[in-house]
Amino acid sequence: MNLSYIDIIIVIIYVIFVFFAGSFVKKYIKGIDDYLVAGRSMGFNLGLISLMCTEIGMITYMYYAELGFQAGFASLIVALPPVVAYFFLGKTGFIIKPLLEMQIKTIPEFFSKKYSKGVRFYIGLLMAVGGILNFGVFPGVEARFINIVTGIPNDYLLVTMVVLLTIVLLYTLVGGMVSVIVTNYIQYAILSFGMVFITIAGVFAIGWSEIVDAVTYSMGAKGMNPFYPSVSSSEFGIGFLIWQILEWIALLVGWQAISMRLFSSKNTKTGQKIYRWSGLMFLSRAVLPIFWGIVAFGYFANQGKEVTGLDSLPLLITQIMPSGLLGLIFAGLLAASMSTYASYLLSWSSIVSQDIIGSVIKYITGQELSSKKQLLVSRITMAAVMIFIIWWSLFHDLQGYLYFYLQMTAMLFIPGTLICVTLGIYWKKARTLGAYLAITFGALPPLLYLFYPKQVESYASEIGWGGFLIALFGMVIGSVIQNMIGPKNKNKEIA
Amino acid sequence: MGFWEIVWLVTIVFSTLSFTFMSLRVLYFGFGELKFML
Repeated sequence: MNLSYIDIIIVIIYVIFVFFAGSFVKKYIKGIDDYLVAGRSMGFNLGLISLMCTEIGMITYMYYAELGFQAGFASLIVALPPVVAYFFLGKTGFIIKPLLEMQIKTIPEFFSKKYSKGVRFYIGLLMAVGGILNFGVFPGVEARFINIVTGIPNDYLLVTMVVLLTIVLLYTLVGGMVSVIVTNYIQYAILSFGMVFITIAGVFAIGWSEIVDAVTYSMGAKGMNPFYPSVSSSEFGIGFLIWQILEWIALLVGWQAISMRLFSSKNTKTGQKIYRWSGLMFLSRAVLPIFWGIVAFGYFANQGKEVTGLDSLPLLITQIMPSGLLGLIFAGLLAASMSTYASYLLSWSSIVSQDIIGSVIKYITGQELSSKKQLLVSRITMAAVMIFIIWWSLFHDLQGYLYFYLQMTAMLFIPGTLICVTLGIYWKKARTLGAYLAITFGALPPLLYLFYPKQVESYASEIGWGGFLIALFGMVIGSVIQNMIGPKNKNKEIA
Repeated sequence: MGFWEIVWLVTIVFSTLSFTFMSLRVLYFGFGELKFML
């Protein structure tokens, strides 16, 4: 066991505190709007905290650190696309302004307003599958991290993860988005301290020039220059950057855990401001963990130790943290993960309950469920999602880069979503057949990766931007055909 | 120091400092928002 008694006490106090802070807001939840978007009452600072907490988990540290460990300083270029996407959307209001003005709770809602209820059901289904498969590897990967940092034996890991997830499930189940916002505040305070502390401790543990020497000695120019040997042929070259910028713009619109923050903000101006400033925060979200991976590479290269990319960060933390502080850092890591679990449980279960189950019930009975019944369905769905991700993490064997697995599960619905939403808002001739084709075509390339990761890994960038290209092709072809043979466009015009 | 080493050093220092100050800022003002919301 790596944790001392003081460390364990710190962690237990933190977990109990968060649980009670998350549970006491239950009395404020009166309907589905309070539950899913906190009654649209979130201000700028809380919105930024909540967004950062959602999108920083232990798994975020791990996949970024793995990149840094494997590819050196060159992989820091990965931090650029989210910054570009956030600034672009936050500054121009492109796509997000019309969406905010529509006052929707989930992105698939847009699809029923612009296209048809069938399209809403279809994209909801793909979002649920992609999102939950993405979420499904979290417990397994993070259990490994916890195992290395704490020294809890492997036999008890499953129990540890189930207990943690159950605590998160309980307070999210009763308090919904309000409890997520309250617990996020506490979690962000401890998480941000941990991130800055690990960065400083890492540099002091080994020294800047030692890190640079280790990378240049082992990786050569490729470890420092992301465009080596050339901009067009390097691993992080122009193809990669185009794919990533497109994907991040799409994620900021269609990734429910992110766009939910947008829909919870109290007005359009606040939503755009949250996105503008998130650009700066997301730069650090990538740069710091990638740098930890590079530090780990230098640290273990100097010691002549063989470690794997995913294990490098937790091993580094156990080596460089002074005793007594490990508990606080571990509480920070737990905070990052618990806040992500809470938001993801709420996000993906809201898609299942609102857009899949809700659509089916409305189709059969012809009317929507009452707000109270929607609340009940949402809570049952959330418990089901949690049970599924524990099961999936036990049986799924991860191959290739974790970063690419997470990107490709998102890509199942992301190209179709971006094309349908953008053209749905800005192109008056976008039609339902085009939406069906765009969603279907966009899902094909990432399926190739998910079934044959080893064979197609070197074509990840082409699969990435290719998905957007054929989704666009599907939308144009489908809309043109429907406009030629179908009746006049009765779809509601958005812009 | 090579070109890329300077680029990455500036990036890492800027990221660490901006993250620290932004975090302190949002936590300070976020507390008021949290009290108001509750």
